[in-house]
Amino acid sequence: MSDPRVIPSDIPKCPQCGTPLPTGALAGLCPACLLKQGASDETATGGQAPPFHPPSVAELAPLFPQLEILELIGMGGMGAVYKARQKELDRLVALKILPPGIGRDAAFAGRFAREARALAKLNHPGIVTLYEFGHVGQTSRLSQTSETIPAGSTPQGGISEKNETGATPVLLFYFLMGFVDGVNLRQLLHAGRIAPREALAIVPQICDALQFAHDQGIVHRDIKPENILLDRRGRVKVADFGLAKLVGADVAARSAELRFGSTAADAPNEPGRRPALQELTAAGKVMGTPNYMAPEQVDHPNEVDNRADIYALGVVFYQMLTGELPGKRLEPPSSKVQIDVRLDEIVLRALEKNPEFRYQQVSVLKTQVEAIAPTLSNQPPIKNLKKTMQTTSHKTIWIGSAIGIACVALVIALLTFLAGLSRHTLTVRAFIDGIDVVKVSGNKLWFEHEESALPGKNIFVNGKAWTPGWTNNVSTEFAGLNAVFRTIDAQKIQITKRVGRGTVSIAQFPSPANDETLAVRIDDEDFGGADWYEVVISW
Amino acid sequence: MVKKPSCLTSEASTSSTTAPGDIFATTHWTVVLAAGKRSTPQSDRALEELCRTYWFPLYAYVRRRGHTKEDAEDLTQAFFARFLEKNYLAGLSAECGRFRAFLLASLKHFLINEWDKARRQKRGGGVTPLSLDWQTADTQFQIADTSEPSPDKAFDREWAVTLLAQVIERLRAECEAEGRGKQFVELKIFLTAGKGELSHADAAKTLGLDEGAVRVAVHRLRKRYRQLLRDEIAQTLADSADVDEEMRALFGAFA
Repeated sequence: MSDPRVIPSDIPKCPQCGTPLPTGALAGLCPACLLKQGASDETATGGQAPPFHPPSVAELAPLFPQLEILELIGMGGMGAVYKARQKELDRLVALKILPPGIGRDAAFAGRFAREARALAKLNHPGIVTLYEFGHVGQTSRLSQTSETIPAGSTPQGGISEKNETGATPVLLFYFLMGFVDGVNLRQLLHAGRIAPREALAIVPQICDALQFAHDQGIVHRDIKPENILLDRRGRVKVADFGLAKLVGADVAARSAELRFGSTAADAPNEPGRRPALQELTAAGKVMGTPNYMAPEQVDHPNEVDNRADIYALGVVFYQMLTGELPGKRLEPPSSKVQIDVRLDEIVLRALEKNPEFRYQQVSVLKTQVEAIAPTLSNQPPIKNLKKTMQTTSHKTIWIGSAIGIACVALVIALLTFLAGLSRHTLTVRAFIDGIDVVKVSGNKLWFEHEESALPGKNIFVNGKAWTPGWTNNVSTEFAGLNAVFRTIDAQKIQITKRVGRGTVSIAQFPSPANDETLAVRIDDEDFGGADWYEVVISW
Repeated sequence: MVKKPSCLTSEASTSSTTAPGDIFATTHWTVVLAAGKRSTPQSDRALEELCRTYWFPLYAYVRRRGHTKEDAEDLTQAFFARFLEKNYLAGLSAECGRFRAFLLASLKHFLINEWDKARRQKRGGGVTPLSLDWQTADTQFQIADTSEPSPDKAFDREWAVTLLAQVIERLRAECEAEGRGKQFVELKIFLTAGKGELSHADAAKTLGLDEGAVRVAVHRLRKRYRQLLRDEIAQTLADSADVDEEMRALFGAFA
């Protein structure tokens, strides 16, 4: 503040900094202090990349008068998916919208139509049917509305009206697809390891769908668990064919520009420079999860063929069998779990770095899997899966999936049991309302309430109630605990959330690579609000 | 590196607003910039929306430059009439990344070059004037007129106040809509204080809640406030990556 002598005494001042307080909406609030607090580094997003913000159902509705848009059922870098009902036909459909930032150039519309026409020809029981595609106008938020888009750290434009004037050339591209009432493979994987027998029932179906597309010259380019849907009868439906190509080109260009400071055109193929996978993810998840990308797809995204899909399927297969992604040093699945070694052969061949050494046709992989399948006994038969899936409600089917709960309950029970015996798993369970931090170092465990109404009695460590009382930072030393995080490979930290009588994994990340104190911060708002949460640390 | 947009080309702003993960972001100011000379009904509305929100800082600036109340009113009005005319946006490229800087630079430009000309014309130059609330403006100005900062600083301060008022009002409306209007009134003061600087106990007593619940409510209010603040600031920027810098600049006006 400058010279305070001239401030008339009747104007109220901020008790903290002396700034005169304004009238109006800010009555009683000091603008300087408000700004200071607003700029505090404890921001809403924690400094991470702003999340993807799909438009709300209400915002989307006017753009699709022929549909009754029911709910948002999924989102990712490639857009958002809504469950909707076609009013005329009274049929459930999935409406997928591509991120509006995509396709600002005129050429995109043409490319989109060409690709979509090709996809529309993919008529196969194992492939999600494409009913319709097109674009509607999108204008930015121009008038104050009471509607707010799910917020992030950045402002969002909303969708206000169907653009018939052609004034703002921002288009919203969409697909109308068959609605699959079921779960995706990611959700099943979250529920725990899939029995080899189940994997062997799922993989051939994926192969069929892929072979059909490959025969028509269409490469999926983004096979990953999220894109493999299972309906209530356990039938596989592969989603999002070719989308990576459409969206990827656009985003890859921009990612490259952002990350490497070079022009869009030269970066992806810059000789001698192979961007790290993490870089690609950081630059834009839109390209798909790099974990599933064949090496040649990372290096030359424009030159992939059907064998890139075979590699991705190999990763998915590996993950189904072991519950893990293949590491840098590729270990056969049988070294991690007890399975038929013949499966190793199939998986490793699909994962060959050089496409020449892989299966050349996915149908061959299928044949080999089917040769093994009947010889596998003593595993739960696939029909159990179908049965349990049929009995769950479709909205929360993946959460409520009985098999999921059963698996998770088993896994948790096992982990809790193991925690008592081994030094390799620590499970801290607590009801979190606000923000809490679990910290581990050596044999010491802290539980800190950063912003919380948590009564201290609701904490369980390895299944045992820990009642440290209500203080802000509680810590204790555990005899059996010796958490020294030195090596990276096998460590992971998982945050799970209580759902019904089971739990689901909601976040997973690697633990630190050194022996520093490990801190896991849980902000309940990031995961849907106050609830029971569990931090499982294994090393 | 991401190119800074140059003003008034439709390509310019799109490149800066479509960073991955940021794909739904479009701000009022980018809409205006994107439209450029070929203004559209959307961009006109976006610009008017911005002007309607941020006119008071301009008035404060003009007053601080020594103009009388009546002159300042005329001047601000005339400026907006010219400003909202098509093609006026041309020629100021250095400041176009921030609406705040752009508006002030335009006003200075106007004061130097066009005030006399504009004065000779009929008020508003035949363009329908924005309907602005002069009565409140003068009262508000007198309250603001307390510590005689430089006109530029006055402008920035008033800008910050206007922006914050906008944010607080939105926050209030949101809380009200969710039936937490009373909570908002009691807890908004926490937005001006750091963690632990104010006691939750008193608020808890007033609201009839336990302390833990108040703690959580405060935390959520803070979080939402920060989000809305960032959103609002971004509305005035061509590149939302500049939010932090703009926030520092505004805070600097109170130093």
